[in-house]
Amino acid sequence: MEESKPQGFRILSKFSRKRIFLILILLILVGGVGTGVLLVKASDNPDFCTMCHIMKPYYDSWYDSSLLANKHAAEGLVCHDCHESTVTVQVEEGFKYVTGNYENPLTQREFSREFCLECHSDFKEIVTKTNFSESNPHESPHYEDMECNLCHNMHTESEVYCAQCHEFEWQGSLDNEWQNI
Amino acid sequence: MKKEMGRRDFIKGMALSGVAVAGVTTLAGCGSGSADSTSIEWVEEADVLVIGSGFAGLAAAIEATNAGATVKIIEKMEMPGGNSTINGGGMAAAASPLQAKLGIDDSPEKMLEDMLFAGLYLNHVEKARVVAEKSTEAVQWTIDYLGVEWRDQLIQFGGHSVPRSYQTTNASGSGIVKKQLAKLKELGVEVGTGRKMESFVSDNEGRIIGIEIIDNYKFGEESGQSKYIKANKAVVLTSGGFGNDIMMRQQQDPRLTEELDCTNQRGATGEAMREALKIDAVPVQLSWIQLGPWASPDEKGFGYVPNFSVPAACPWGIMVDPETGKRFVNELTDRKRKADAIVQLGHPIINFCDSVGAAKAAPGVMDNALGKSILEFSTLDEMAKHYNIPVTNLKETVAKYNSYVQNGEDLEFGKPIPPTAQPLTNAPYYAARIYPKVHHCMGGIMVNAQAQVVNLDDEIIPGLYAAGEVTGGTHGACRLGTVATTDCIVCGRIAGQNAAKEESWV
Repeated sequence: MEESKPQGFRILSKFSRKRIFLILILLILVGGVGTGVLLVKASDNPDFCTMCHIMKPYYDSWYDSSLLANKHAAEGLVCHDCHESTVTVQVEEGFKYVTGNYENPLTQREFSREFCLECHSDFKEIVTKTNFSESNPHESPHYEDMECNLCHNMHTESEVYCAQCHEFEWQGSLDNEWQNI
Repeated sequence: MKKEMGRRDFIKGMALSGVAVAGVTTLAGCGSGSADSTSIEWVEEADVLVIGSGFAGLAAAIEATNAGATVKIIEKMEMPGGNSTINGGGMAAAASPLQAKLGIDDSPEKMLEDMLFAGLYLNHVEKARVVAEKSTEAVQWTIDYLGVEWRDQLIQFGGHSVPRSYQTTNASGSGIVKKQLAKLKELGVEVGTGRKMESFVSDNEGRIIGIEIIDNYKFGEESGQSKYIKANKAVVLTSGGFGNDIMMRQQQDPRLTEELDCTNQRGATGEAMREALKIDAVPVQLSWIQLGPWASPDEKGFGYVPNFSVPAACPWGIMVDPETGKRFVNELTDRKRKADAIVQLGHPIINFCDSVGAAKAAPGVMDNALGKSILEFSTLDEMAKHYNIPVTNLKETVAKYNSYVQNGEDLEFGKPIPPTAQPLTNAPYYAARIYPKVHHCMGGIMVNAQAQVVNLDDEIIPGLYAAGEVTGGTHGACRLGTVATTDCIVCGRIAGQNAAKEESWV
């Protein structure tokens, strides 16, 4: 049977089956990696995040609000600057979204003080700025090294942690702007 | 939230297939037998696992670490310290070096008698005795080992027969907590915040072998993930009282409705104590819940006024009912008698002293509260007018009290007039409105003098220790001011030392 086939076909069939297979795999790999790279690249754009509808309120607060997330936007920061995300995490999140295994609204993420201070590095200056006569919210007598996000929220209004127990005069003197810093 | 709960229950169910997760009543049908610890996925372990990071928990952690145990501390709130880091920073010690320096005659027996009298003799005497006898050793430990800085004067809190209460230089319990945390950091032990104890895990002999926690827990949102931590030697429960657990406090004392303010941090709720009760720990005197008769409705929570009323306006001034302008109680009696007297009147009272007395207020208090919760009046007339007190009666009351001061004897209420007290004549006067707030739970689970938790059959629950406000009996019906700190430090240390001595079950 084989001899009856035209030579060209035989060669193609003999040498290229493997090659075609390899090329296909390569194409898939290159395509996959390329798509992956493109997706990861695209995901740096906050618009990408809104592909999941549950992200919209967080996106909105970044895009156009008086909240702290928007202040970070004004400085050129995007979602992934704080919500650092690996490919694995993104794939996981995508899978969770597709399968409906997600919370809405999302649990508020916690960020360490060290993380915030990577950019807001001059903490001493921050302390100086809030040295009110009655007390200094950045220098609590009760706690050392308080986490920034005990007071400062990105996507919701900030709140004075100390106000659980105290009514400081300086709280009244802060205008609404405080809730957005 | 429901989804979270569902997932958690599922995990719980999985774990229960092979082990007894003690204290989960919803799954009580699974029973507490057939334990097989090998089927639990322990994600972490420590020799000694401490629940809560107040005075007692931190003291226990320090001692257990120094005894060679590996230690983990879990704390459900965002920050460590609980109520310990937001109180007035007082600590009672009998026959202390500072008393000797100030010429004050005192003894542990005297302190014990004060505790029993205030406690209506309901106290578990052997527990109270340990606290009184080790009080000076404990305060000395805070100085020598922790480096706590104390003021150089002592305060006579209500119900104490002599001045015996130290106060931190920053007039806050944080003066102790911060030093404890610093020491633990040195020892390589950190507090795991945002980790809530969910239930005890015991083997089929009833020995506590670990706990289930909710990790990444956020108070109020009840979120997080279930995890199991193995305790090779013991669990030390130092989760505090339930002053801010409105459901639980009303179960015990129906008068303590949500309308009544509370001096505690918002996480002072009783779920960890309830888990201990579910594994048959003995509830002792849970319905004795203390109201702080020095708190002001004009500020939130604990506030500044306690640090004006206790060291200044009560010893060096008086309390009057604004409706009559008359005194109604011995201002230096214990908290229960004073709170009951105010609650009986049914409205806030006025506690005031003159400028000599006001100088005794804790540091920073007058600076921060004056013009807000503490007011200044240049005359008694001015004060009477402001609070709508019958002025003639007020002046008569002050004149009468001044005569008691001069004679050194309170003929009406038997207040022990401080020997150096002066008549109330040095204007301006300083006053605050006072109405009791929920402050301290005298009741709790039963422990023996070794801090071991005891069950309903009076047997020790193996592998479980407890100290601090979560325990009951030490103070009977009424805890004296600043004795809780002593209790926590003394018994927390005992719990930590003994927990570290336990044989590992692993």
